[in-house]
Amino acid sequence: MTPVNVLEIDATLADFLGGPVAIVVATRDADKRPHVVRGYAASLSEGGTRVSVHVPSRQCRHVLDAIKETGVIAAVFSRVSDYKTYQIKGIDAEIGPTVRGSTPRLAAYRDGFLDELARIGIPRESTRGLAFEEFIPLSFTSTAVFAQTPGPNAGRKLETQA
Amino acid sequence: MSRLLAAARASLDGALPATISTVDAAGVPNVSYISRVMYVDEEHVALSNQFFRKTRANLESNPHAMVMVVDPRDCRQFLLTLELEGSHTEGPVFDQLKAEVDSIATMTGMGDVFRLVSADVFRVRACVALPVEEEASADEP
Repeated sequence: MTPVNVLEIDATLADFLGGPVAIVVATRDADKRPHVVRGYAASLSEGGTRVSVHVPSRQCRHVLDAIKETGVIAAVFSRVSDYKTYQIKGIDAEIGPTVRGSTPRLAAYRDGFLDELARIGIPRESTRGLAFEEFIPLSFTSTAVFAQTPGPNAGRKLETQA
Repeated sequence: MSRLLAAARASLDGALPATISTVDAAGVPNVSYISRVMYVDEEHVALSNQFFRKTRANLESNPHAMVMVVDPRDCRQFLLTLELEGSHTEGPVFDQLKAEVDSIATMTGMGDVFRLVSADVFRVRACVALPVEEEASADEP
């Protein structure tokens, strides 16, 4: 079996990932078909090696089905004001119990993200599609991080492996 | 499906960036932002291939992709299940997509960064409007 590197994410990147960034979570099923859903309110645990993110219960069934088959995840985190973007690859994804969107962590993320959208000209009244009552937490072990800000360095792998 | 794809055109034309997810030969998923998803006809869209080499490499071994587009009017999202049919480096689809990408690059001040390599034309296998909170339910892919 090929050994898998576990990546420890440093504090600066952890702050970025945990901030009011746009998040998109992708996985794939047993037939190698991709599946994708928007993510909310990411955080890190276990010394920066485990990433947690929430997905809306209403929208994620196809993603959860695929995760149960493969356990692999790729997620992008992008600051909408300047396009700064990172992608994290991961394995051993786990699905947690449903949480309410009104919990402080999710409510704070939503407020911060809607403020960011307002700064780029998307008012709160135009964000109905981002409001959800229930979320499913996902967590996964990070194995690689890529800088993905648009430009010639997009796709560069960060060399910070633990 | 084609009627829903027509309904999703507002999202294709929106200012919020779309994302594309692909899978490599080893089964590792990848997700990238794309600057343009262009409606071609009732069964096809064209995506701008600029600098996301990983997406391009993945599509050469596995033509399946899922794209998420966002309606700028209410941030509602559509998922397009796609299969790559071909890449165009010239012709009317390439020319139209290049004009649109150039326009976006100018608007966002990224003219030096955005350069269209090819217009990748995909068959749309499914188009789903993701349910929002006020609705009872909707079909997911």
